Amino acid sequence: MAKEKVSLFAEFVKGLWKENPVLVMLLGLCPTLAVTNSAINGLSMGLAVIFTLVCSSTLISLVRKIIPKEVRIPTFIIVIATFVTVTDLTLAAFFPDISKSLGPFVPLIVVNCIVLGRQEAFASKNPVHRAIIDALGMSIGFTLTLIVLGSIRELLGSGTIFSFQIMPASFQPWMVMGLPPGAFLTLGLMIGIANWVKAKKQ
Amino acid sequence: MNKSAKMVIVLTATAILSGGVLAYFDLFTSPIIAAYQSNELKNAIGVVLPGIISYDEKVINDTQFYLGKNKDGGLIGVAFLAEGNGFQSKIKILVGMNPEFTKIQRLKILQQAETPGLGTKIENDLTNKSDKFWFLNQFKDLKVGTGITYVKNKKPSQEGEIQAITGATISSKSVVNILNDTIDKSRKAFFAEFSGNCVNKDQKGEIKNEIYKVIPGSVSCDKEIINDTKFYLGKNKKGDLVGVAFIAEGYGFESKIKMLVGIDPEFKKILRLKILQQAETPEIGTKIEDDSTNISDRFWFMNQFKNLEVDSGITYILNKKPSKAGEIQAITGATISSELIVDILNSTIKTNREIFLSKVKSIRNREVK
Amino acid sequence: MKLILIFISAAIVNNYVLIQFLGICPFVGVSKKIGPSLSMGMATTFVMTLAASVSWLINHFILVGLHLEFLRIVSFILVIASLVQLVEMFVRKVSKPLYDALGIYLPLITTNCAILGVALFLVIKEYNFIESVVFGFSAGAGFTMAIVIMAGIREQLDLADVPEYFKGAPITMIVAGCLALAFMGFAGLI
Repeated sequence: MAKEKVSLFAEFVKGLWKENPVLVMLLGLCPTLAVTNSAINGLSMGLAVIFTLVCSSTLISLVRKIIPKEVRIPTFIIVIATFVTVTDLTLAAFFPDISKSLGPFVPLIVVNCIVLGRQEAFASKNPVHRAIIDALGMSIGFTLTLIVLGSIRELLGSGTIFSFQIMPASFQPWMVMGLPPGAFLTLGLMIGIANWVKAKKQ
Repeated sequence: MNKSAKMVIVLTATAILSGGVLAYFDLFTSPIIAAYQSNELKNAIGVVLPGIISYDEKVINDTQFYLGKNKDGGLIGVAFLAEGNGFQSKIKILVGMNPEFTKIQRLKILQQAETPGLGTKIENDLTNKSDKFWFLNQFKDLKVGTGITYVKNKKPSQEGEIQAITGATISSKSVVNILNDTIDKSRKAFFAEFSGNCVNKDQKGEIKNEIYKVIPGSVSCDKEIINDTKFYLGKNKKGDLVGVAFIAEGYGFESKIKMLVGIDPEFKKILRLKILQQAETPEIGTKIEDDSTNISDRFWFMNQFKNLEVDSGITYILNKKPSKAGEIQAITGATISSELIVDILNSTIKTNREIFLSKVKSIRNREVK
Repeated sequence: MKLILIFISAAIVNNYVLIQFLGICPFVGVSKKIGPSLSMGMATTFVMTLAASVSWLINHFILVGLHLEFLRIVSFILVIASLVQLVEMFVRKVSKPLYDALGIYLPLITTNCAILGVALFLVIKEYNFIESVVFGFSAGAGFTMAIVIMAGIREQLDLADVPEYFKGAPITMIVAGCLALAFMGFAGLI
């Protein structure tokens, strides 16, 4: 298929901002809202997604020529699910506290549109090195977004970021930030601001 | 290669590889996960049974108990798991109680996934600046004799009462219900170690027959352990409790004396007495069990205790026939043996009366509710 | 009694979308108009109930019976994907009108995290079979309610003067936040 020689650097950077999976492409919203009640949870989920996406993209890209088109979706799903289970088990064994905070959202990475989306749109159609870079870019973009969202919610919701007390002791936390409404509102504002910044840049 | 075949092969290969990788990972991580969970349990037991040095795991009547011991090996607490449904998730609580099962020492929530910010307050409440763990702390040293109750929107005022969390009534109620049900079941399991079966492992059925002899009219026997003391409950054909038996032992003049005491359910009257073991001075002290010098009644000494009223204690008299309630005649020439028997009986009956009757009272109180 | 509690919990008090954060993607994507939203909701409810039942059976008899819990994620997602495929084929054969109404939404439901979420949750909560089916149905009902309400609001929003950069996703999120806030009021209900 026709493709301009996009530089590897550009491949990487696009996931961070221009095609940020959450703020621009509106993918992977479920875990974004669910685990960003604190910065550390956002970071942990991000790392789990980075691992899953990079591994899946690598493997899928490596075997892309052997997978018949008709069965590609089930194959992608099996591969992704395997890596997600590996992540889940690893967390449960070596980082049990994180495993408990992230709860059932680690298995839900399987249906995270970002992961499946990248396999379909990119990894299955590109050589390995590009696939890895794309995966890294997208998942790091995702992670950064989660950290920002998580930090905002944690800061306003409990006065801390990464459990470091930032707000003065007299600050009355906005409980709503740790709860679902706060998540929706903050994300909505972030996407709105992202739209505004993008428009400004043009 | 034929297209369909390729599809099948690719899918099957993927599935097998996936299964293989996951099986390997599972093998590798599951011992670690299991070790972590048992460590968590160990720490939790230390939290709910303060002051213990070690604990034993024991399954009694299909229930897993953790018996906490102090440095002398004495039992100072019993822990067990209580679980049930909360508002939206399974709640698992480790309960630490005193060995009499009358008081909760501490609680620890092992697992819950209630509504964040509301139901989760049962585990920690960030809106309470002075005490995040106020809900659980209410259960510290809580007397649970007649069951735990809860009140809403005001401070608890009675024994066994706690305050529910505003806006999380169901979660709070669930915790209380889980505790009440499980404490009840665990108490019954713990105290009824070999209920319905009075055969002592080392005496192989001997005890049962002896019990029927010291509790006249009994046809069945249940064993109950209260406060580490074994009570044998003798029931008649209808299932009514007609007597309680227990072992009384202590030092005689020359040997350890072991007796089986059959007493009425109110602990007011000895029904029968039987000596299980003694090695007192032959022909003198041994008369407590068998006095061959008394032609009409060799077992006269023991027979004195038949239906003897003991609620004000047993007394003895020398060289005279007994004239008062609760009085018996000591054996001439074997005063000390006789005296010691009376002492052993008095102290054991008094102790066991308290233990047994307080348990009966607590059961009666709960049923009255 | 417990079944009613499960229904109220999954549909209202712990509404799947607004409180549990599952099913957000279709929630944002399909809630522009009431008609399609209702169809999506019903299709989702149907799949959720079916998926809950099948997942329970698989979990109970195969995964737990053979100590293969680590295969849970893989097996559940495959089952759900296949289930959706089967349902789509079945509906297309059996009832063309129904297919026209719901059919196109079905593939979208596969990656709906809410379905896998339902399956995983019922394992965590250790529901029995009947409870799982009710749970699946209730979650779907809650999802339908949320998406239809959202569609109603968005239809109104189309007529309102929303700031340029907030049109679309941002305002949807903010509205969802307000809805979530409203639904939180149910928390003290029971």
